[in-house]
Amino acid sequence: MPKILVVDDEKSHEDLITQRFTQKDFLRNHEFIFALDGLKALQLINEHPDIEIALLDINMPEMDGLTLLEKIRDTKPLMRVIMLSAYSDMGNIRAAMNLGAYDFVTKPIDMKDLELTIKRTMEEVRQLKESLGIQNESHILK
Amino acid sequence: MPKILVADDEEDQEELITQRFAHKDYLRDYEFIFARDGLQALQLVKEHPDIELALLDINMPHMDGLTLLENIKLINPTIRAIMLSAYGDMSNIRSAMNKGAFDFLNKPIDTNDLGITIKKTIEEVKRLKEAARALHENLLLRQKASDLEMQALRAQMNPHFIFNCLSSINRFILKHESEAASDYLTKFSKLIRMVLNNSKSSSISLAEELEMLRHYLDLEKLRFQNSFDYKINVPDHLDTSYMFIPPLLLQPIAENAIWHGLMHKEGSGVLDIHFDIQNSYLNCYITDNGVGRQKAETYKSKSVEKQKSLGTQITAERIALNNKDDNAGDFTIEDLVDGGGLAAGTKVTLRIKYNRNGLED
Repeated sequence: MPKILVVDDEKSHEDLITQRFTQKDFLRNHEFIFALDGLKALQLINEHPDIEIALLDINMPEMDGLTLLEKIRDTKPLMRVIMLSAYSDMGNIRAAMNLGAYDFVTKPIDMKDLELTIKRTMEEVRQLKESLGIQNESHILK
Repeated sequence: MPKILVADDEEDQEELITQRFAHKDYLRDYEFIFARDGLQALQLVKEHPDIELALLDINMPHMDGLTLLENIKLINPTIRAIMLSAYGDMSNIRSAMNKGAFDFLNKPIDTNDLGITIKKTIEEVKRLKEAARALHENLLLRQKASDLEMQALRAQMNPHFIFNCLSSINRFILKHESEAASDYLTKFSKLIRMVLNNSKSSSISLAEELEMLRHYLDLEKLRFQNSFDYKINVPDHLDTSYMFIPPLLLQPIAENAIWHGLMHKEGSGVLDIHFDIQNSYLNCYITDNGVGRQKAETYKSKSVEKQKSLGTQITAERIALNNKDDNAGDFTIEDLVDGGGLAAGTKVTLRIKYNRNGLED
């Protein structure tokens, strides 16, 4: 089952997402997995090749969100990243967007915004995969 | 030359971009065009289908940037938009992103950020164009594959049919009926000529298909010494010259009816072929009053025509390919019974998508 990785040192976000999202119909084919820091996140990314979307907090111990974002961008071209940032932290938001984040949401998390953003990101991943599938099929047909 | 639209009511934005950006190397393939309000921007989007990027100010007179963003998506969904917002105007930024903006910039514009964002967006547009090109290529390749498959299936049909006709002629020769053999051979060569001509095209008119079918049925009648008769009924309102279907779909079914149903029947056999149309589908009903499939099976096992049902299978596959679906109702076989529950023949129904101009759709 495709996975959404949530990397955040605040345990409360894990509870919030589990409670509010696991029943949602648009997520019936997706599973959430959680990491409390960037290093643990990298380990999960290696273990689960079916992670499609990553929600990354910017401020984390061990490895910050921007560094993790770069590592994902360089190694997982089909994964799409949504950053979690403090509301007023425009400098980091712009840095993340220019490092290739697909989008961001601000903390405290507006669940409606997060839902819309995850849906759009899922659609983006779907299109990317479809596009890749088409190229592979063409390659076989040639 | 692809274009970047800048919609902003502040005059200095145009200056900033013209002076600081237009000469950048990564923009050498792009031309900037400017609008001072949302309505004007929308007009430019309509006039210039080659706009690839749009920088849209959120606060503008006449039509604000968010409304403009939604309208642009309706007119040209391939345009990637970068929103210009007041610094930290988070609720508008989030609205814009959720309405499908690709990215945003804060005002006053940080030219370094603007440069990186434009470069990144150009890359995204390139990726999207490449994906569109790959999709188009894929459709062409699929069409080619489908054509090849059709050709292969047609090629399979012909030797199969020729084999059966030649074996009939051989039978006359063995029985020293040279006149009948000659007559048969003449008709056969006429038919083969039609078949070869028509099998080059992927579709032929129903009129041509029926002419071939009549030739074929006449040959079979001759061979079976008129032990069966056939009727072909086409409703008057069907203009058979302007209905196009794949060639030689009906012949294998008629062949089955004769060889397996009618050949073993005692008394006079009748092959009834009639048609009707339903939307863009032609329904063909091919009914024989032969011995039925169950009994035919017992004859089949001891005869050389054992492999005959190949024709049925190929026809079903060709119809599926032609109709571009896998509908079980496109090819059905029904065992008919009489009042006393005895086998009374077989009815085959074909549902064939036809088109009006003879071109592949």
